[in-house]
Amino acid sequence: MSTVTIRSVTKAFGEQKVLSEFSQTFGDGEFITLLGPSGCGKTTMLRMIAGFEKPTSGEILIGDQVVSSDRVFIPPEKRGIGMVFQSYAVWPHMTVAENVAYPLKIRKMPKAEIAAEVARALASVHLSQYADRLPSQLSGGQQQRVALARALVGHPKLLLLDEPLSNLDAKLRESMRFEIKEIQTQLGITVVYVTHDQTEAMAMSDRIILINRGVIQQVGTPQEIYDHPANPFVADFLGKVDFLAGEAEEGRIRISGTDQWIPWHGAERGRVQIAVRPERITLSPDSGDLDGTLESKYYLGDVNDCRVRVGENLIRVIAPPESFASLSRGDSARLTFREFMLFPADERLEDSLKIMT
Amino acid sequence: MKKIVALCLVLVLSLGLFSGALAVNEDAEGKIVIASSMYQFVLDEMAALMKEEFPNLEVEFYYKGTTDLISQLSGEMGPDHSGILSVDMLLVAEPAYSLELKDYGYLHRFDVAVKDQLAFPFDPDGYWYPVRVCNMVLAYNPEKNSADDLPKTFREFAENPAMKGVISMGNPLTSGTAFAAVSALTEKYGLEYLDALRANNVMIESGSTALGKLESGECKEIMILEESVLKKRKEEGSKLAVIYPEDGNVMIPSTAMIVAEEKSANANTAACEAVAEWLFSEAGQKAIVNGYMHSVIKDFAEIPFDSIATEKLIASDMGVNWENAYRGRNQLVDEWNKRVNN
Amino acid sequence: MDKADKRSILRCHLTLMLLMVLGIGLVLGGLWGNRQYTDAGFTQENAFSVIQNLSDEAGRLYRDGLIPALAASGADSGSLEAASVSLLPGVWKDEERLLSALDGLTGEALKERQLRLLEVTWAVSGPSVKATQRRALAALSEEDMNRLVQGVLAGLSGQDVTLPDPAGSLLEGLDSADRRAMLAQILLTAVNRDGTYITADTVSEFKKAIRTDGGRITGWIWAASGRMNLFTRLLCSAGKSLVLLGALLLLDVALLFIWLLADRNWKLDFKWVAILLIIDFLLTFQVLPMLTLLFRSLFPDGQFSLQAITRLYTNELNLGALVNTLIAATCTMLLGTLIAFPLAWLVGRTNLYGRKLFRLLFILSYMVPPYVGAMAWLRLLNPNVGDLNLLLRSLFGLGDTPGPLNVYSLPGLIWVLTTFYYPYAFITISRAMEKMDPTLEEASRIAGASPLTTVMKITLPMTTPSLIAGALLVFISAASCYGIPSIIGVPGRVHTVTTRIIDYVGRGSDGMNDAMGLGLFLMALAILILLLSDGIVARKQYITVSGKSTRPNIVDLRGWRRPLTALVTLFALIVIVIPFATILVTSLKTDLGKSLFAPGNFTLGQWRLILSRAEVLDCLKNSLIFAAVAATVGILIAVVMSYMLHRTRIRGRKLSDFLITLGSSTPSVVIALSLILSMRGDYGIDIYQTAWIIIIAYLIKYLMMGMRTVVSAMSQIHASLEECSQIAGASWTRTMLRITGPLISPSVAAGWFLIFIPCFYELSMTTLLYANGTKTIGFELYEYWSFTSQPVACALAFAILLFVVILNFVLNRLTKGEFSI
Repeated sequence: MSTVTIRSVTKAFGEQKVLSEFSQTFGDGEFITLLGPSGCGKTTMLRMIAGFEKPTSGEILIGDQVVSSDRVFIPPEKRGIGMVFQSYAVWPHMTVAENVAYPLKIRKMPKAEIAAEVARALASVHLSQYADRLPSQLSGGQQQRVALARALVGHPKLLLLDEPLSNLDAKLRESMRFEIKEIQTQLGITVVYVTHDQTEAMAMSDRIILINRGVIQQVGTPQEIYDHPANPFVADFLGKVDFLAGEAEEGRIRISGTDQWIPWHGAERGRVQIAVRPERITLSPDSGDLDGTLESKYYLGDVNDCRVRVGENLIRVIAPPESFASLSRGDSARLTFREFMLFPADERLEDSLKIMT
Repeated sequence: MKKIVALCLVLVLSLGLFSGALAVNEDAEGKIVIASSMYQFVLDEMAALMKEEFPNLEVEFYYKGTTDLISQLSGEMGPDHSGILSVDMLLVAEPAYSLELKDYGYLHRFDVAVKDQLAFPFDPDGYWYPVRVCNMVLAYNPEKNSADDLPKTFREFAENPAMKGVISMGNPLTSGTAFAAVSALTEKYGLEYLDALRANNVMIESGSTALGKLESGECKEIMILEESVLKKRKEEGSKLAVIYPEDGNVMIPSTAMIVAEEKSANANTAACEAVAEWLFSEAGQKAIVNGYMHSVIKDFAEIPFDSIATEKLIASDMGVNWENAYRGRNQLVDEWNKRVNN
Repeated sequence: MDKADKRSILRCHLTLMLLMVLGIGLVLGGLWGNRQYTDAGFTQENAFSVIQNLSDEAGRLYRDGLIPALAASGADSGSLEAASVSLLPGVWKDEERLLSALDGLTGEALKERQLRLLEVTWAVSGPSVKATQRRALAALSEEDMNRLVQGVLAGLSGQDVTLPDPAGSLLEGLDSADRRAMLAQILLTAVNRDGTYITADTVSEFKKAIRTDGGRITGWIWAASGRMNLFTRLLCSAGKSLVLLGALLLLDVALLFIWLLADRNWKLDFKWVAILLIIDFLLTFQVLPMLTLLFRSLFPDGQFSLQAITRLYTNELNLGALVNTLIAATCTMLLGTLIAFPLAWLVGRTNLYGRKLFRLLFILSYMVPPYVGAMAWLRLLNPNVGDLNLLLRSLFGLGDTPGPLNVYSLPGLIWVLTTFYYPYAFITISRAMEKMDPTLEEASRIAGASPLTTVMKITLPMTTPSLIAGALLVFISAASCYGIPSIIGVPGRVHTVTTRIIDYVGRGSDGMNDAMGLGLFLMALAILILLLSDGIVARKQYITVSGKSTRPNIVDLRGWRRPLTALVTLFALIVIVIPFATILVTSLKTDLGKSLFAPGNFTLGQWRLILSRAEVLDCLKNSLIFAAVAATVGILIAVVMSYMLHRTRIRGRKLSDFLITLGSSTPSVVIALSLILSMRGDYGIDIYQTAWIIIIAYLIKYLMMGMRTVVSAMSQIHASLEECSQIAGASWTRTMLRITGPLISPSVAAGWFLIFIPCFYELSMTTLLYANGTKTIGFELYEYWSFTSQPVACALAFAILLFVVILNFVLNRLTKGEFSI
């Protein structure tokens, strides 16, 4: 019903290539997040789906309908989409109710029906009592919910969200995340969500499409991407990660900058990149593969965020909070990697890690 | 010895430097400012001549259109007519304005030698004399219309229905000469003349605009100063031509006035008087004729380029009653506004 | 509060106190000095007649006193000197003060002083020795001179002598009284052998001095007596100026006190000085002249009288003019806004073909004097032979009757006004649209609204404040315009308030008051509009300015692209290209009636004339300088003012803003007249007929043009940027120069240009204020148009246009595209 099919879409502004070959299909009812650093092209892709930009090549289908191709282009107002903007884009000269009623008025729905729908939409975002207020009298979070209600009031087949939560404070962001996800699940609507915040992406998405500099880095569920990142960039972008250079040998990998090694049973040999998540490292005063010194620790309440020096490397470890009391700075600490990932030793890591501004 | 030299010098100087010119007047000294609405080139010519005639006198010519000059002077006089002017001599506007200035005590009495040879009235008390004469006539474009088809009189100009929408004249509210002409015409034909003008949808604008409309054919005949047409004919080789109205042209003298000493810019009435004499001399009048205007001296030999003899024009002059023009000004303006200007 | 704070507060209080004392001192001193002027009775006529009487007296004494004395003394030049000099106390003794001028002097100094006094008296009022004769007398040898003196003395004693020339000729034709007076003159001249002949210039100066500034002559006399020093002399001669200065200073102190108190920050910063300077400037050159004007209109002859006002405003013609003005201005406003809004949207927000070109074309009309457009429309739409009318007639087979369109009518006037003033609305609306957050429109599109619906329901309401601001600007500009109604309205008997004002001005001294009385109407209208716009716009201020520099979403017109482009092109053709082309073509013709291609009609002569004539180049130089100075000073004021408006909460800032806006809505004629009235020394300032009065007139009228750009630029810079600089320790000046300045510099450049252009081609004020050395190009243009030659006028007009366009282009390149109107 409301799938989105993107075939070989590229986008260039003059000489500058913003988006390379993008081919994806979003399933009906899926929550897709386009994730990536600023300028990676995610917003451009979203706007192409919305119809505010035209692809340089390729085609886009919503459901069965071709909305954008070499021959066809359906303007935004005819695509039946709901969209929420980062700046809320709530019209200041209309009341909350009028804002929400707008899409229905365009469709020339009868007044009674409009009233009913508006009431329903406002209720779903818990703003019923603000119906007659002006946006200037609402807080940022409330305005965002108005925008959401407005986007959904017309029962669109597709909902697009362009970094809707970046202007809100942390606590509000968390609660809004849940609200949006709930609404989506209830309505079963397909959502394409754009953000640079990986926590958001992880929390809300069915699948994440990670983009960097116009190139898709990896597509997968949050777990897939988190546990099996396709390249160092993905590993670094999603969650926290420690990178270590190493030399793989039979049965073990030597950590560069030290003369210690960790067990390894894979096929790779030679220079490699080790990527290990700090929370997958066991920290213990006495037992472990690597021997190091605790340089710093930060008590965060739920975890103990430490830095352990192993040879020339400073490794970040997320340890259980109890370890805070037991280990002191300067103490010897032993680390064991419970899980880690291996990547080719690529000088171009720095390259792909560079965020495009 | 020195005396002899001095005497010789005086002798040589009194022989005169240029043809027919009077002896150079060294005694006029200091500085004076003369304001005039004559064409700039006329003023330039006069300035050059005066420099030779009055070597010790610094003359500054100040050109300004009549209306603008009058309003500037009004500003300088102030609403209570007590301010000091920025000029010493005025060669602008027609006698009505001179009467006004005389009434406000802004003028200085003076005499000119040629007083008895002036062809136009002058102030018996000696406060103003006409120094040049403009001539209000009709003009047309022979390349677009034949003179036979067009009105030959001011009367027909206003009354002939065939001229509806194709005639133009100056604005008497802003142009002194236009006002003088209207005054003369209403004296001759009564206020109904104004109604006739209105019925013919006369256009009201500056002379230069009207000439342009003759050229473009927008107007067939216009009421305009002869000098504007003559100038165009001479300098641009234009074919626009004058029709001397058979019911009389309107000769509008423009006066020379000296500002009263205590109200003038440089308090130098002695020099002003000397200059005034020069203006009425042959050299001065010649410069005026070169400016396409007529001389005020009876039987003056020169006439402006392409014009006809001044005597003829004087003979056919409709005449303006200056006292009436001055004192009845407000009424005439009201009538104009009521009948023509709505 | 620590010691340092306490000290600075104390310092501040002391400074204020000092300034207040200085101010009071200046006022009192100036008043005193001025009183001497009136006290001494040396008013204009008075002084003159006093001197007159004195010389009569001296003459009488000479005749009746000197002669017998001389006869008795046995005349020789030495004793003659002594005798004549000894008469002086007698001559002046009736005037206590004058006598006291000689008090304390002795010997040579006394003699010298007395001779001077006598000399001047004679020179001013006696029969004069002409220059040639003077020189001849000076050329005499010593012994000849002595012989002459003997002869003169003999003559004075009644003997019948013939004197050698030049003296002899001097005496010719004089009656006996004058003869004696002349003899005395010759005597004086002979006695004064050290060559201190009084020149005509000195006489002039003396005459002028005693009539315009009696204070000065008092000062001179007192100085002659050794009584007066520099200080008292200054007080007397500059009395009025000092009073003005003192009054301003006291006002400044009062304001400063109030502001610092309200701010609770007793620190004297340079910004206060800047703000006060601006207020002083506006007060002196705008408020004072206006009030003078108002006062003189309502109190002719010193008594309050509404008679003149009633007469003016019940006059049928004037009433008609009022109605016409209101109708014309309203319709122009509506039509202009109606045109400007869709154009701004099409050119700024859609993918119309040739947007950049259109944008340039649409603001072109701003760059030429409005009556230039009137000239063109005359040519095109006059009912008899207008080019467009001819075209329409042939297209629709309408025969030869006049019409169908008649530009000499109220609709014609409205049309031409619209074509020239819609750019004001266009520019204002364009800017607002560019700054609007594009997602507001995108949200509407996504919600299902077509681009057109989006414009109507979202864009329009969002830009309403700017729309209204632009509309009101159009209204007041159309109402105050003179050039267009004079060329288009008057021939067709459609009068407006501005043309009526000029009608009255043309009437001469009588009409002045009436002219000013009518001017009041326009000023009242301007004030009304100001209050309206402040009220409406202030209330509906939506924050729509987006922080991010997002590109506004371009609406794809798709099927409508070509037809709309065609429509806009047609509009541009009709409104801009054709009129300007007409002007260009006219400038190349000799005979207006013939086609450009008729044999012999094409000429570059007109162009050659304007580019080579010294006068034109002179005027160009003047225009450039005046406009540049006005623009520079104006933009500085604008920057300080906008700072005041946005960064401070000074109570008075709204007032200055109001004054500046009022200045721009006052008809030019009124500004010029009020300046003439008040800047000739009545208040101690005499800048009449200098370049300064012109520059100041320009400033008052056009300051506002630059204000808007700078003010809005300033409002977009967050205060925190400046606060940062200040915390780092930079003074206010430094912050303005280093931080704020560069950030708003594109707007400053744009604002500078917006002031420069209208000043460059200004006409109405220049006509009344120019002197021989200060003619401008706008005035020159008008002269050519009205009195000389229309083709030359067209050439000049087109040249001005080219110049301004090129300047715009250059500035754009210099600021790397940031600058544009």
